[in-house]
Amino acid sequence: MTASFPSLEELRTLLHQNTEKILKKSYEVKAGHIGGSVSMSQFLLPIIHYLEVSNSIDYRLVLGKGHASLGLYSILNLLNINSEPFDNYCTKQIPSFHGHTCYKAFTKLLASTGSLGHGLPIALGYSYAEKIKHSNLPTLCILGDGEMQEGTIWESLLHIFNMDVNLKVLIDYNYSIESATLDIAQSLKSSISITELSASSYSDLTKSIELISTPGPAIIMFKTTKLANVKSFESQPQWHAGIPNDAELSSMLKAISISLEE
Amino acid sequence: MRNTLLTAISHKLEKDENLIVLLGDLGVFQMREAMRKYPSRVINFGIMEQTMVGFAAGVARNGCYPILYSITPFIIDRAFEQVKIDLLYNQNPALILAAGGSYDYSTLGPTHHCQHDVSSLLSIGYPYILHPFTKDKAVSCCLDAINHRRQSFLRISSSELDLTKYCFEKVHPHTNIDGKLEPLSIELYSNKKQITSKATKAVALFGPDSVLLNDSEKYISEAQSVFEISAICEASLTSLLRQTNQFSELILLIPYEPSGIVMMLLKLISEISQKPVSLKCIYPKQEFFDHSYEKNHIFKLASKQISIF
Repeated sequence: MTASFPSLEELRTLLHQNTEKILKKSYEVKAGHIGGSVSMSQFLLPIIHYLEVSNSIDYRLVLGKGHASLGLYSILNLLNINSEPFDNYCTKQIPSFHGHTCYKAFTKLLASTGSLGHGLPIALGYSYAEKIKHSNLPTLCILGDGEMQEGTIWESLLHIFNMDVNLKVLIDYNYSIESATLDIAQSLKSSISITELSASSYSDLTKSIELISTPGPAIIMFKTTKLANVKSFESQPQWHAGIPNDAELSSMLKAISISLEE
Repeated sequence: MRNTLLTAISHKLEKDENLIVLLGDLGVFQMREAMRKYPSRVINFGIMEQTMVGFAAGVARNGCYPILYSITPFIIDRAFEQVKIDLLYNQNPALILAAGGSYDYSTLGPTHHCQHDVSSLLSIGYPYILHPFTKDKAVSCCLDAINHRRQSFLRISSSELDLTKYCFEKVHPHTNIDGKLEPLSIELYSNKKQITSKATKAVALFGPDSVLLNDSEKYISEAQSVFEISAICEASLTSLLRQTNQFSELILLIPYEPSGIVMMLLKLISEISQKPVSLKCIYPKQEFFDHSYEKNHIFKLASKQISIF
């Protein structure tokens, strides 16, 4: 299975290119949530590469943290899956793609999202219908750790294991500074079965592929970093939705250094 | 009306394999047989209305048609954002069956009252809102929504209204004047008594609770024509305006917050340039009725009148 996964060096190169694309696009259109887009890409890029490029595996996707649309669109563009959403991201011309996730961006995307807490119930409903139709395609739902505070997440978690659906909940645990009043990871680990993986570990990323490829429900919490791999800019709250100016963009591009251990 | 609807849905489940019923911890007893026969398609989803709506959107996205059954304020107020985003914006059709509109749960207090459900839904462009007058019409409306996979809200009332008991007779079964109106959306009744007044008056009833508003019986008895509006949509209101064009007065008896209806009518008047000479609305004012009132008592306390033009 891992033979069709990009090599460590290939992945480093792809992550570097993707981070550059996100930063440049945000600067160009003066929009976007770059912090979460980059942190999510740490694990979503290799997963989509595995599913789309390496293996042509069918699946469905919901981006609960809809504000990270720039990250998703950048990955789709970089991997030559669909360039349009990234090219037309916040161009302020019609047709364009707004700053949150639009289902028209990608045939496998199930919902337009933006209000936190909406994605997981939709993904749960879709995967439940998959189950009763005996089709059982995997549905991936990406949540942010801040989003885990929403009541619908708790409500959905009550159902996921009872319904035994082929739903993979991928948590982008970038430890948002704004959310630090609650230790989400600790709360979750005390309540439900969670697999914790590091998005900076190549072997952990390959483990996540195994989990995604195994039918049934799974919750994977990826330890990520806001604006990951843009050294000296990482984990700073202003880059949740901050837009770099000329000087900042230049510094950011020079500061990109991909930390990805074996 | 509730039990009749749930029975009809139970029968429909047999023929329609893509129908999924989600119970918000309501109707579980009435649906027990259907839950036994179709355990994967009749689910007591639990006390989590927001997630239930999102879940419904997901199953709709996968080609199924969900029916959600809950208490009106819980599904419309609490899950309003999910209704707006997950169902409407994302274009996932569902049928919401809501019990307890306006003051059906009168004695349970303001937490269970919801007189603003229709105007809330109209404010976000909800396309098809139903408040049938009888059990039979409720079943017809429900099956129509299911068969056409409509994005629908069916307001179940604890009351029924049969106008033929008020010296009225149905003019013709369907006022389907432009061929676009769905059956049962609007029906015309005429007064069997001879009205001596020269003024031509018409009354439009918006659901069976209309007759609980103050002075409603007086207005109805004085009217030459009475219209039952079972479906709130542009077609039914356009038909109402066309049929009351040049009437001396049209009185709207709206047993819920009326602003959505009034705005729709004013918009349509400007578009089709047809209207009655004067328009009046009777409706319940917004207030928290926090004593153990009976439903008809609340309507008497709450009724207000406004002359629109």
